[in-house]
Amino acid sequence: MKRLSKLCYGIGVGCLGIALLGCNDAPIGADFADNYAALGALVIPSNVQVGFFDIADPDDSSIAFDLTGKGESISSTEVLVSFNGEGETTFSTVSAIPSTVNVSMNDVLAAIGKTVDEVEVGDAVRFAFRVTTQSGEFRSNRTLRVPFSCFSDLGGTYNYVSTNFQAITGNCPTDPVTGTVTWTDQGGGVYLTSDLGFGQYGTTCWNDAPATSGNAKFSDVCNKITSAGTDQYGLTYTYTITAVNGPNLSISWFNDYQDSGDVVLTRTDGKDWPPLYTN
Amino acid sequence: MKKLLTLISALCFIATVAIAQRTVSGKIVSDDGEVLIGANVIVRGTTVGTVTDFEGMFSIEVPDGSNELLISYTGFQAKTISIEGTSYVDISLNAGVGLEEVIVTALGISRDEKAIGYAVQEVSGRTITNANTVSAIDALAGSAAGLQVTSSSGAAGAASRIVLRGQTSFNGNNEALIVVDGVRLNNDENHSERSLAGVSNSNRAIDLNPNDIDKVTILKGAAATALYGIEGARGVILITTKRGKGKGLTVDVSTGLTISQITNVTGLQDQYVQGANGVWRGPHTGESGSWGPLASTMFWDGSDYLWDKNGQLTTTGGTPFVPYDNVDNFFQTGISNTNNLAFSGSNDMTDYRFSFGYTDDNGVAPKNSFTRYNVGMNMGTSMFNDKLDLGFGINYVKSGGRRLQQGSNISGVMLGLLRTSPSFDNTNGLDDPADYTLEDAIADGETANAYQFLNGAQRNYRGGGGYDNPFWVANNSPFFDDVNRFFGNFKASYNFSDWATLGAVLGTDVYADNRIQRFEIGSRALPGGQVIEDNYNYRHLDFFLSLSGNGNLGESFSLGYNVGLNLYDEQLKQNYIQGDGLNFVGFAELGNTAQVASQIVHNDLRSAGVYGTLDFGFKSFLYLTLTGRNDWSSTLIDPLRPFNAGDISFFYPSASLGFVFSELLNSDVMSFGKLRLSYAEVGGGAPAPYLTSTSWILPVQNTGTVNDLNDGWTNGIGFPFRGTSGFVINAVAGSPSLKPSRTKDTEFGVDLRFLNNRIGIDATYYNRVSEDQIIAINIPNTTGFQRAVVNNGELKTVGGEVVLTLAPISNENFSWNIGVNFSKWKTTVESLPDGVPNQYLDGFTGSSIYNIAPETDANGNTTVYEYGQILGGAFQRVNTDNGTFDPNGPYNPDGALIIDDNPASATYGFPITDPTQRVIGNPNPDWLMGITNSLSFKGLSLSFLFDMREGGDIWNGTKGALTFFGMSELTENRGTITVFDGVRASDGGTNDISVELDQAWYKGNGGGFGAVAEHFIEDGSFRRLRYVTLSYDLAKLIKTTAFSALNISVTGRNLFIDTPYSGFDPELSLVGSSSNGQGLDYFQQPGIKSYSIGLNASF
Repeated sequence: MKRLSKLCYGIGVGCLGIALLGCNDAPIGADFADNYAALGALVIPSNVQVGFFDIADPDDSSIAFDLTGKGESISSTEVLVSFNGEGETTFSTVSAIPSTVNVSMNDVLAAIGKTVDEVEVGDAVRFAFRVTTQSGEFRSNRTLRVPFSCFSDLGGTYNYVSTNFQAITGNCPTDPVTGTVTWTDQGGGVYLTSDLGFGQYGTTCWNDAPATSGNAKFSDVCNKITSAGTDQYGLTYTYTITAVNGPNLSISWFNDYQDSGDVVLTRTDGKDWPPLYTN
Repeated sequence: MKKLLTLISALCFIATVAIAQRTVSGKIVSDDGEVLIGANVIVRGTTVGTVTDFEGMFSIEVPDGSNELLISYTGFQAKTISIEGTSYVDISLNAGVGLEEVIVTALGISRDEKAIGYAVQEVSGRTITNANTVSAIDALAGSAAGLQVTSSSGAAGAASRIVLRGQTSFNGNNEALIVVDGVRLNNDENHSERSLAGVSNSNRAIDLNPNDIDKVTILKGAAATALYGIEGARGVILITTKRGKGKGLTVDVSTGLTISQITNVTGLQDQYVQGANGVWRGPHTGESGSWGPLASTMFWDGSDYLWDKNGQLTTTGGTPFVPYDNVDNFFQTGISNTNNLAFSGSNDMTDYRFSFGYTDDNGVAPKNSFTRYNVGMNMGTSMFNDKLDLGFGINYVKSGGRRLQQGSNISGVMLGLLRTSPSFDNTNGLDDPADYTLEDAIADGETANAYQFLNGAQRNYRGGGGYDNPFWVANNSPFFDDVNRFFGNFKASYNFSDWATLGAVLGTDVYADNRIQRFEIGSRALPGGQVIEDNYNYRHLDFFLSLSGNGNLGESFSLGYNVGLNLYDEQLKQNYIQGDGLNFVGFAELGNTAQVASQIVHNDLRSAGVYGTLDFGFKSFLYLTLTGRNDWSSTLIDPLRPFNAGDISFFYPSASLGFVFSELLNSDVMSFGKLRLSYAEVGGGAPAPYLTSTSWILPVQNTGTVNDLNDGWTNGIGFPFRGTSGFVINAVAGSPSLKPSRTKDTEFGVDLRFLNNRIGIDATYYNRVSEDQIIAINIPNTTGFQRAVVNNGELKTVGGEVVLTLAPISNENFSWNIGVNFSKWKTTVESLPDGVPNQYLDGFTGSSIYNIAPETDANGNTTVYEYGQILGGAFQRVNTDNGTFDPNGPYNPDGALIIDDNPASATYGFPITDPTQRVIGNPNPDWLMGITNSLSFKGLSLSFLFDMREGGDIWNGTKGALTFFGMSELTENRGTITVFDGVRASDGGTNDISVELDQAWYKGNGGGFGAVAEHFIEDGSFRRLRYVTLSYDLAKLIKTTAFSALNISVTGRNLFIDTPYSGFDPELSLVGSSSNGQGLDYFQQPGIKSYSIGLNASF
């Protein structure tokens, strides 16, 4: 019995020692990776209709978007709006998620305290969302930026007549080259073009496929055309609009590989080109 | 109490007087019942003595008036036994060091333990064999204070790093020096690959047969090791091998069988299938991630699909999908067996021991194995009335195995295994995926085996791209090593008188390590195939000549001395041949490669030293030892100056004092008390030869080293180039005027034992400074070099150790011994060369191990860092008193995260990254502790070791990478909405922005390939049951006299591990034993636990 008590005593001392030494120092670095707590909720804007406020037509301009939720159950959602990163104001309150929110430009201007004359192309408002859940109030990190811009409708297929092709091969045709180019509307005034060089690659300049890629794009912001697109070789193109005359649009272009040319695009849909310009 | 003792003594005296001279016999066994052969039996107070025979028996004539026997045996506590009124005694000795022990110290000098002025610990050979490890070094883990053992992986034959009391060198070897029977043993981990990749190599201490070890003496401080020179500053593991004992022939046979399994693998998710953004993208797409839909929503459609016998995945119905468990399907139960046979014996003049060992270790990964054959012989003889002693020991070892690529390596076995999506079956549905060949597949009408299609293309989860299927690695990228080694010694000494013994020791260590690495055509790292033959030929000669003596000077003083000469010569030649581009498959030999390049590397060095020691003793309680050594090292020779021995000469002294104050107290309670004080300096040459010159070297293509002729874009140029040889000047500039580095060590200790040694406490404090470090630093590339060797920098180590021994129960039938080793130290970088902020040791971009120079902030506060910190990316955190983040302020790991609250930002609601790389982890442990318990009841023995480490951060890069790929368990919370605990960047308010933990987060800063590493720094603390051994003396059970010992034992290792670390075993280190950059975990092979059964018999 005495031995047993000694044994128990010794084991007890040993266990106590281990227990006392069981405290941990945290590592230097943060240990939050395994401790993400489910908390809060997201309000996610999606299915945005139009996507910009048309400063050319403010009375009829409006947008719409859907709101869906994720995370904790949302009891109410406050829609906040800010102008060019300035202070937020409450725009509206949505009591149920999912929901569709319709926003007119005039309501937005009123909310941010601006008139239509005080906004210009390049300005934008951002919608943010503050939600209330059983755990409290949270902001969603999903926001919606809506620029002030103009309606653009340049999508379509157009005939071209290209002249004055230049290339470092020195072997370009002197006669005009004709063909068609297709501008595909990507939304928000962005267009994908089927040939940045309007036929130049396909001529004796290069005998190559048309100058295009998934990034062969230009943008139309209230009739200002900006081309920052690149072709399949990564070459960047610059357009300069030299004349707009009814259904005819004249462009001079070049890229950073010393290719260049002049082109006249002609609409065949009976419409005239809007007053496009490049700077 | 005192009266009672007096009465008992008086009775004993009366009884003794009453008994006439007589013969007393008996048997001596260990506390676990093992017969002790050659144990010393002395009639206390006389010179009458004998030793036990091979059955542990003795018989001794006891003079009149004597009634006590003093029993002693190396590695056991001496015991005094009363023989009053008896002629036969059974005696059991407890393991451990007693008061009357003789300790083997530096250069094999035996000294009375109580005369030593520095800390020494011994580990018995039985402890080594109890641990039941292939490597004797692994068996030392937890057995001594100040000792840290780290394994490179759980692979068979993996290297183990052994460090005593922290680091002494920035660049050089920090592992303890291993000395076997007085001669250095090479423990290099030779390798040509980067430490972050390649195979899990052995280091050469693995060649020792644990069964041949009689005891291990651990010399820690510089005072204990000064006579070994600068190598000794790292601490010395002094191994004494077994010799023949007892009269007649003794045969020892042992056999053991071990099965092993992996302990832990970084947690993997199995809830989501291969894909991206919640959409299934199967193996045919080459998709790397497992960011697909929920596995529970998927079905196999049963279609003919090249990559899965069950068809493609769909959500529209079919056979419900069940995730594949690729880890479980890959790892197997490892089996190893060990067999040892030894013949030994002795007579009055000669002793001998012949041993044979065979170990065959088949790892837990397919095709991974390690095999070792040991043949050893120890012989000794005394002649001319014991004046002349001759000793001879020789060992032959044949070792090696088959290893697997691992680490940061797209042909690494773990990288491909763990990244494989749970929707891809690496086995291809085969029961024997590792051994199922293409021929088998053809015969069975299959389209592929586990890892290869019939056309030779690789079958893996990324459509043949990405990473090697782990079964491909096991079969098609084998690495073989074959080591043939001799090491041994010849000793001779002649005793002219007590005052003059002339001794000589000649030792050698010679090995050839032949390796071949094959990459078959189609391997992901080397699609064209590659063969590397990498052969190391090593040898050293170690010669000592000494004159020693000792004796008493009158009644009060004793004196000992030892003067000697040491000559050391080491040569290492590496033949490296690399063949690229196999001409056809199935014949991975150099002769089948399109381009062959080779290089030969020599590393030769010599040193000569003279040394002397003086030991003074006063009245058996005060001891002073003085030592001095002068060395000449070839590593310091300036090639630009005429040779002058004085230029490479350096002297270093030591002094140690032992004060046995218990001799003055005559206490009944305190059995022993000693104070120790020592100071030592140790000098040394350069950490490697040729650092005094800048060499020309042969560039090898695409080796990933600074010697590549590589523009960073192409694979560079290999030489010979179109038949022309070429050399480049080394990117490391040598320094012709290097001076010796120096380590200064002060140690203070106290050794207390109470109640007849039932309780013992040994505490040590030490302070060590290593200065004038020889270090390679980065320099501007405009110099024409990348690095330069300089003589600067200082390391400081301050630490303490406590060794506690307890014997709660000790009697003839039952004994219980407890040993506790506690150690704590800090090695800090006191300085680096001027202008050098840090020194890279090892690691990856964004998470590397550096030595960091002290930093002083604007307020004059200086931060001094420990050795080898983890430097990496961090998030911004509050580091000012006003609750903001100052980029020039200190890293504050406890500060609140700074959260991006700019709604226009892509990281809105997420933590902001810190632009500065920070010290995000400290791999050094806060403290270590081992607790050993040994219990014995008659023939049954139980011993177990709890081993603990507190602190020691690890960068869990494996988890980080798996998080990026959507494979870590952490990513099972994908889609969770959370709010980071932090403050808003704009106004310091509490963050309230909800975000989603989605693919974008984990493939960005939330994963391991983002800009931040701090969230994958984890605490590497552990508490583990290192081993538990239960043994039983069958000889007692079957009552046979045929065996002097017959023991059966079962052992479990690592059966219990408690750790907060979520990766592989926190004791593993990716970079192996030779790198000083510890604390990295990146797809090395996991640790193992094992179960063994063993039987040993002596007759």
